[in-house]
Amino acid sequence: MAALLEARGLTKAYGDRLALDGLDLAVAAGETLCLLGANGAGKTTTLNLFLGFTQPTAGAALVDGRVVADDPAAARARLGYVAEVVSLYPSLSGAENLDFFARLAGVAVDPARRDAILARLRFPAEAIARPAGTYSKGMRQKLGLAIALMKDARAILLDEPLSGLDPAAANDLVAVLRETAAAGVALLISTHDIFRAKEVASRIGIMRHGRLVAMVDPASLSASELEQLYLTHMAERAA
Amino acid sequence: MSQSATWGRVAAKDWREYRRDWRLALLSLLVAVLAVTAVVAAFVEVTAHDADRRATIAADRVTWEGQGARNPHSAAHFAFWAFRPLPPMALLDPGVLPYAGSAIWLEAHNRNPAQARPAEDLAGGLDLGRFSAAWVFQTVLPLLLFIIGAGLVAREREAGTLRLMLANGLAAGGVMPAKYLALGRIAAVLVLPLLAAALAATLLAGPVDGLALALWLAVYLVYFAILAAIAVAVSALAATAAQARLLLVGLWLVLLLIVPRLGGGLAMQAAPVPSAHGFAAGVAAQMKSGHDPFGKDGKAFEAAVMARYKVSRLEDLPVNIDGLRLEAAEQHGNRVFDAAWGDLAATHQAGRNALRLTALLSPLVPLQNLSMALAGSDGAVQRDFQDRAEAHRRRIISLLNADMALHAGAAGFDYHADPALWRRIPDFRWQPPGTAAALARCWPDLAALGLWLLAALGLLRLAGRRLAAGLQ
Repeated sequence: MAALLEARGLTKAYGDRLALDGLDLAVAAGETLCLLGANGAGKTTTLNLFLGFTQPTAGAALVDGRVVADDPAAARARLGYVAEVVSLYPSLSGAENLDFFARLAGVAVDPARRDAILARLRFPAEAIARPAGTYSKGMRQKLGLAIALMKDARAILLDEPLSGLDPAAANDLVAVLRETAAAGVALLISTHDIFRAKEVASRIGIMRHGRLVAMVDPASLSASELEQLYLTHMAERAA
Repeated sequence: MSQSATWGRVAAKDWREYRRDWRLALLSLLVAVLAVTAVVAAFVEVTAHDADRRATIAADRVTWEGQGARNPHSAAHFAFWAFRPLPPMALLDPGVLPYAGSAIWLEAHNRNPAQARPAEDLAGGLDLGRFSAAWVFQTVLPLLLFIIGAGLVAREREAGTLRLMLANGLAAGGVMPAKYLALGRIAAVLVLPLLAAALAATLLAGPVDGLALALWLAVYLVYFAILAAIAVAVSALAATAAQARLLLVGLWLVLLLIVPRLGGGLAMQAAPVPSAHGFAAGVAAQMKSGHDPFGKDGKAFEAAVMARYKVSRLEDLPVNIDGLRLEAAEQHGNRVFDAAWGDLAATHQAGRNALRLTALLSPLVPLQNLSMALAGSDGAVQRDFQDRAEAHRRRIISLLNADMALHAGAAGFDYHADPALWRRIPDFRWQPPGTAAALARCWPDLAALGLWLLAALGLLRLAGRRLAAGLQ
């Protein structure tokens, strides 16, 4: 299956420091790739390169076969983005936030479709008219995901989406992410959470010092084996 | 979707956020109340002044024509007022009028010393604090604009919504145009109803030159465009919304309060204007030391007159010598006045030139000059009124002196003119210089405002580039 997200020798240097060093990866439709790694491993830089927020020093990020650096706007049109803390306009309601970002993306607002997406994400129906400033983090993450789905994003980049969520909200979001992937969307998730990554990912990449040091199938490892593998790579770093 | 449509969406979103911020809404309401109060107060003042002026002119005429048989020179000291009608646009910008006045006392031998008041030409530095619609538009609304604009870019960057907007279709290069449009939309909603109310009141107050009104409106729109560009640029350049707010309030203080006032001070330093008392004392001294056909130069004057009429005795003159003496003394006084007022005008011009230099440091300076000039309330119009009133005074005094010279005969100062003479003396009528004259004298201000607009848009562009680079 053709990759919706692809990195080819993707490299980013800030002065002498290599934030990302020759990353190669591919995420196909319906697939979820979780990038695991400590702070500074290059996970967020990878997402920024796919979004075209920063230019690669070498290599290329491709979205749906197109080089992002050549036309970042075209790449973003196919991408959804969910930040660690989804930023919304607190005085606008959830529906107004959704409609604004959908219109910005050039999507005509259809309330029925919006309600269907929110229902799919198990977003409380009565909350959609409330100011977004009153939302919990879990609700914000779901709304962030809804923004991506409203624009029919073929691939969604998620930066630490589960961080700071209580267990119930995290479980809920994991289920939503699985359903989203099952609907044919490619997900690239940056996370610290080994156990949640195992739950949601079809593949897990372990990153260290800007390099992808391992790519594993979570189905082939138990949670403790995955943790051990991760810690081994981190220990190598410390050594 | 086109980029301009994207900017429109952002502007609409910002407008919705602004509407829901009760603090900003309350602040805007207070400013609106302030502006409306200023306009209503000025409307009452302008219309009351016009009614007073007409009533006083009519009463003066009745008194003048009813003074009965009287010596013309005595009538010349009876005197009369020259009133300038307040331009309806003084309702928008009273300019120098509160300082320079709108009536001049016209009397023989005396150019009214009130005309020498030094304050008249320093309006750029002095009328800042006066409560008027112009003051609200020039000083208060910009502060509101800066407070609203401070968070437009900085708050989005801080909150992370800027990244989300960029991820959802807003181009990095479109952030600044979108935010400029957003502030423009908010400013338009704030400013346009106030301007419309002010303009409506102006039209109700009397006939207005449509071109002057349109240009007045246009220069204020340019002024707000400059300030909005500065606000958005600073919001983009500052690290946080709080820092942007602090910077913009500082800029407001410097650009709109300190620099114009310093400009007034600099003008005073560069071209010190004599006090009204000192000026009048100087004129009086020159009057005394000059030609005096009633005193030290009396004999020489009589000889010259007799030679002109080819007679050897005063009794043989076909005219009254005292009438001629009065006219000669008046002419001497006029020369003294012209020299003294010429010097004063040159000093004022030097002060204005010095003040104008600060137009490059504050957009308020050229705006004030243009606003007053187009409203017909600046120093140049006031000087024109004073000059025309003075010319009227001279014409009347000459008429009265001529009557005495021709008809007094041997009666001299005991001669009483026919009351018909009073009816031949015209009322003072004055037509202020038009809009073309205002533009001709204010082209440096127009140029300065244009430069400010270019500089502000340049700053906006620069800030946009830095913002786009910072998103990398």
